[in-house]
Amino acid sequence: MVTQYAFFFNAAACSGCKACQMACKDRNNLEAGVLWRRVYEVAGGGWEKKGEVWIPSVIAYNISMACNHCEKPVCGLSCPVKAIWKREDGIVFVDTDRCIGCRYCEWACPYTALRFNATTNTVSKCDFCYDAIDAGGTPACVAACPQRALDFGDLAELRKKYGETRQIFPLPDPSQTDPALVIKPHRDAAWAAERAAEVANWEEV
Amino acid sequence: MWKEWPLVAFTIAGQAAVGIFLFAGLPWLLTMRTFPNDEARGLWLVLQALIFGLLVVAASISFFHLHRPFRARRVLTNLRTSWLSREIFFELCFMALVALETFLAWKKPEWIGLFIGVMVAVSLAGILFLVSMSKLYMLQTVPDWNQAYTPISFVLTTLILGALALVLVWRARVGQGPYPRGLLEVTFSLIVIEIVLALLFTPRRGAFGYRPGPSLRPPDETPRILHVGRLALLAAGLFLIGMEVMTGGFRASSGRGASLCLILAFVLVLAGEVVGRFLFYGLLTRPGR
Repeated sequence: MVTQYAFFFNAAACSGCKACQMACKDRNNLEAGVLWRRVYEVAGGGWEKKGEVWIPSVIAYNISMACNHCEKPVCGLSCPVKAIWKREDGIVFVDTDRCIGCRYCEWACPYTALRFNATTNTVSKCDFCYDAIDAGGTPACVAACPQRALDFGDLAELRKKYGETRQIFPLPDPSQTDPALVIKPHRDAAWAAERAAEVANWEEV
Repeated sequence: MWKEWPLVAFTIAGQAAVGIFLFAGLPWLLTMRTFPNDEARGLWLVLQALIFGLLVVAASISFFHLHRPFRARRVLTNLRTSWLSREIFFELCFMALVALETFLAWKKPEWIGLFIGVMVAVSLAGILFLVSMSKLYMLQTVPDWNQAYTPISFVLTTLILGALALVLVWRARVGQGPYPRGLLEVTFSLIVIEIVLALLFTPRRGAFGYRPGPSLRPPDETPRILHVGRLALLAAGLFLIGMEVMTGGFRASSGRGASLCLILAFVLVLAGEVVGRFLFYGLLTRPGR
């Protein structure tokens, strides 16, 4: 039995096509401006002089990020009305019938997974396509990825298969929330901080 | 940032209420423990009514922050882990105890033992309200707020607004009197401390303030001019309080009524605190629309 569902993201394979983002939006009928899965474009660097030669040191990679269904979900711990809770399989779930729309969870989540829905006046977020999972299916984002950059499964299994990495630039310190996430880093991620890379598409995410 | 006006009003009004109580109630509790005459009791009742009024205003305005206000009755459900639940709990405790203590001072001033007991409880509830207000924002996941500057600035707002409001009420009701002597000097010093700390440690803007690294949070779009505006308002208020102290305005006054200088100083300092609180919320931009 799965005790903690998790996502795997292969940053080295992601082309930034945003099919995952659109599949999520389509499946969940999300309003304009509400994104449960977002693709961040990380960019930076420039030209670097080595000896007499100028060489490009450009940083460019993408991060597809949804709720990481953290083992220590700060959103749920902060919620004053217990509208955010964890299922037995680890999926962190928002009960929109309980939510009072105070948006405190939005502040608390360092992955900015919680998104306010102005139509329902409550927060909402990735529910791991739990109904599809329960029926033996696959989350929409994972199914849509043409590069097979996304995978899902039990956290322990994903770690065995892909390794233990769960943080790349500019994701937060994972010890804060213990995200159920496994990442294969892009090669540029190792240099992103020192080359002053930053998210380049704020208006989209 | 501007959308957070209900939180700005809630925190400022709540902190001012606690501040007035701390400056009016604690010295009374530690020294007098009785009302020497009806005038003193009348002044006490006015102060308590002001505190209660501020708390009612704060609680009412906080509903504008909720997008589903009719579900707010559940807000005390998660006292175990949520500082937001605890903040509301302690605010309600503080409000109820202030009401009880006002009733006792009004109708049963002879029950001094019970009154002192309730006063101790009010002081504790007020302090816990202030602590929970600070802890609410000191989230490990929000490094801009998880700084010592957050509780220090909340305490300074509490003390400055509390002391100034007390001086104003005292001047309006009593005129010259022994109790708040020195309070203006204390307020002056607290504002100096606030300006110096703001210059040095305001996150993102102070000389040694915390500078966040890149993250998944949207960039801060708060206009820089607000920080300068906050400092200018506090400095202007400080100047007027200094004038009042230097010219002996307080001691020279023999009649009732607060001077225009003092009223203006209060307005300027309050405006400075409000701008500072907007800046505080502006440190964290909400994602999406």
